[in-house]
Amino acid sequence: MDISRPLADFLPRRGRGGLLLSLALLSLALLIAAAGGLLTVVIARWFVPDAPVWLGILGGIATLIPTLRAIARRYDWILPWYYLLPALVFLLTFTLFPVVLTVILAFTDYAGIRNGQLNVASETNVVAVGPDRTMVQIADARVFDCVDLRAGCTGVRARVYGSGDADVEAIAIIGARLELAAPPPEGRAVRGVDLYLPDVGLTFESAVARVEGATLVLERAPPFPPDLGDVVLRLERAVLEVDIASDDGTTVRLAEPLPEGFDVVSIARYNDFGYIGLRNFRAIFSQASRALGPVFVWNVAFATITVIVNLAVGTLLAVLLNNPDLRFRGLYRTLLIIPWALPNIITIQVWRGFLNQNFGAINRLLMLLDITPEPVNWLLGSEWPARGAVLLVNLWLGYPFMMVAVLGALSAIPRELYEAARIDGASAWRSFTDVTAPLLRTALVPITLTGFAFNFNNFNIIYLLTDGGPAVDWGTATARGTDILISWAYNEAFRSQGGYAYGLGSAISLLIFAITLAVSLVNFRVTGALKEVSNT
Amino acid sequence: MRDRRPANRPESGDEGDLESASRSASVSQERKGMDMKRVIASLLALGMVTGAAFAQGLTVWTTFNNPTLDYLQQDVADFAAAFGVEVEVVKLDINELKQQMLLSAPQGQAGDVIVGIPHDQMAEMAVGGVLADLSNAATEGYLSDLGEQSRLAFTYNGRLFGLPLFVEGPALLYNRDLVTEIPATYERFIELSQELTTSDTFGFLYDINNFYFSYGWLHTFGGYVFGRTDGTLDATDVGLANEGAVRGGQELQALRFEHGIVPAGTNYDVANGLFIDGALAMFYTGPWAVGQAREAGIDVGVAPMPPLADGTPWSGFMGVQGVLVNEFSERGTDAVNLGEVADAFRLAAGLRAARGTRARLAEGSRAGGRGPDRRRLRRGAADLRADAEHPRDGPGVGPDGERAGRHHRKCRRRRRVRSRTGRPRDHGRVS
Repeated sequence: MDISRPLADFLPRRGRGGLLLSLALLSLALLIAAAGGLLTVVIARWFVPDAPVWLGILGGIATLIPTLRAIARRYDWILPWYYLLPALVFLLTFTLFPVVLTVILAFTDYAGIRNGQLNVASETNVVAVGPDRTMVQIADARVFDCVDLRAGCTGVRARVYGSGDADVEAIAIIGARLELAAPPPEGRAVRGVDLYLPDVGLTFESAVARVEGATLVLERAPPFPPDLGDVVLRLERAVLEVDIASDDGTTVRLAEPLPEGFDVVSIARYNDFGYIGLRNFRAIFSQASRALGPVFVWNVAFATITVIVNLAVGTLLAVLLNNPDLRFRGLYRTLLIIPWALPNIITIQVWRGFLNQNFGAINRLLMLLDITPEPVNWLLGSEWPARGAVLLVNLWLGYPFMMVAVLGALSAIPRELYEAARIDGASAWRSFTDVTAPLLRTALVPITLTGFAFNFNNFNIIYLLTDGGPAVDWGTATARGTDILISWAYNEAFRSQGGYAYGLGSAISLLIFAITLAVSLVNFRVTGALKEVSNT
Repeated sequence: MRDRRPANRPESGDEGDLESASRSASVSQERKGMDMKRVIASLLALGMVTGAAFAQGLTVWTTFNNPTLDYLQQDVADFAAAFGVEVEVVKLDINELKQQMLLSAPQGQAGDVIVGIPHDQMAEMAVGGVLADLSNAATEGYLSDLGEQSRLAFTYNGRLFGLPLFVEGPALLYNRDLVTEIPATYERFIELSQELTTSDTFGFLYDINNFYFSYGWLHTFGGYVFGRTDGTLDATDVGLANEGAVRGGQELQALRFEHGIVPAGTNYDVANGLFIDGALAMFYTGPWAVGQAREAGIDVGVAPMPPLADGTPWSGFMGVQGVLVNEFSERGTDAVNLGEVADAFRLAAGLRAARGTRARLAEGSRAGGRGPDRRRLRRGAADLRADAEHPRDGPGVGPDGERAGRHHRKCRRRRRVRSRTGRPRDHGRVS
């Protein structure tokens, strides 16, 4: 290091210009590394066709290190930025890439049944080909099924299959060697051969071991002399990829004419997907009164009530436990933390059993105590008992966290304050409202906010306890009585429309992101949680 | 390197041992402070070894558990020996397999053969383009040997996408300690259920909110989901509100409100739990429930649901599990061959021995209702009788040696028929 230069030369550049230059240099290094990795794979594949792809990572690292050294030689001050480089790489890979993919998918109709693959099940026979060789009459429009695609079959790629059999003539057969008049067509594997045996009036079939020019070596010799004029070659089917210009039921017009002599047998289409603009969002908002609206309202109510109730119960228990005169404090605390310590996947299942209408412990208890004359249909009746059940179970699952957090905050409050309050003649309640509560507030605001954000997307409790049910008159098949936004998105994306409607699911995810962002901003504004940070 | 295997792959077989051995070797070298080059070299060697192993063999994805998995492993070993192909069996969760297949098959990372998948998951994979069309791969003789219903179950848009393994469907499981008489008609069944519903026991329960089971009532009384025209389902012909379906629905309602047999809140877990505790006399469910109840010490009997008073036999949904082949398999012919071997060979026999009740249940419920596969079922029943006399004798080596021998001969014949090219050929035409 040249110590005659000023220290500022070795410190990261400040200001927006410095930041952008640093990021640009880091991106350049990563780009060069990526190119190096790619080149490594290409070169490796050149020598060994099956070279593994992870060689590229090694190549990338090998390129990255000298690149970084070269950049650091020119820009001394960038060295501290290198400590951020691994984090940046992970950010790009695991955060930015999925986000970008989600945003792109939200504007497409990508789905399990529109995945870009050839739809093997759509293969249907071609009945007739028009004189211009672009019009094709298909046997079954229902099998070809253009209905599921965004604009029918227009512009969709199709695969046209030719005949697999060819009638040829043979010259001679010696043992298992069949000599044909002309060599079999180029580029298509010969799978087998059918020979007619006139002596017995049967067709003999054999696989072909290998092809030597115009001679086929059969796997088995025919038992009787075959008819050399009537030989059927079983070839690999000829295929042709074409675009569909338009379709009208059983009539499909291709974008380009089929080549002369191509004997069309059948046609199959691709599961085409593509850009559909705002159609996903329009579909969501067209159901707003049945799905988005009520689900959103319940979601906000669920998150709010859960946080308030959990916080209240947690604070109460914490204050009780914080009393040093209480005996067996440690035991109580341990017992009360148990709901938090148990995996909720299991405990929620247990609660499902408890809440069963005729066989569950809760209804038995309620009826034993004569609180209700009839058993309450918690999970399968109307939406209100189910929502109550969700809140109840979430309270059981959630209060220990609040309790522990409050206990921590309480231990930070000096005892002298309570002593001073007692000397001043304050009651227990008064010392809670005037000493404990104000001092807890600063500690509890962040916990409340995170609790809200967590419960706003609390998929587990909904999915495992009620699975979004019960079905309600005002809802849809995917937005039911206790569905929150995230479970509704899950239902839309993975359970309706034959499953895996990734495009629609991504669109809902974007909406949820916008809503969560808005709710959080309002929260921060109201509570002022960000104020101190922005003031420094 | 492309990873063909999911995370929950069982650590078994030579290859896995080799891999883990070389992995631990490379770790210990690192620990000793060997230089960088040695580590990279060992990593490279590891990659070559595993990469080479993946490049050759076939991968089988299965949803089976033991003991069925053992039978599959044996089939696979036989196949590997006969065809000289290395085969690896990977176990997947039945709920994940479809998505895994749809996502990873086009990338060449899915199993070549899928064994044991219910037929209702097949169409989505076929539309997604990840299943091979087996209509031309299976021989005529092979196809005609399958039951009509089970073949239809794996047929989509007129194409065969899977080879059926076995049929399963719900029937009446009963506790022999509580039920002494198998009801002859549905009406008698209702009476019996009422008689057996006491302060200590329930007479009859089932997962009444589940359409899979409740469809039995709708269908037996005359309802249907989709009608059939020309052999394929017609989505425009829905029979869930016809006269029969309404009557079936009324009978369902009567189960709870008129007869007082199935109380509100009954679901599968409740009914299953009570049956295992011995507090439920009769339980309408599928074959999967038998093992658990037997392990709990219940003397389980299985009977068909009784027919209606006018003689209409009970019918409902059936499920068919089968073998599928990956369209993107680089070894398509081997995959088809293995699929047929797994389907026809010891596995089928083993299944009947291991889960014999399945075939019996399928027979009992007259699976499908529309023209049950009587021939296949009769065969299943004969096997069952044999298996019942000498249970757990293993596949194909039961007391009925003649039958087992016949089965093996048939399989050998099938294997011979298949040529290297995988084209269907029927040597029967040349005598």
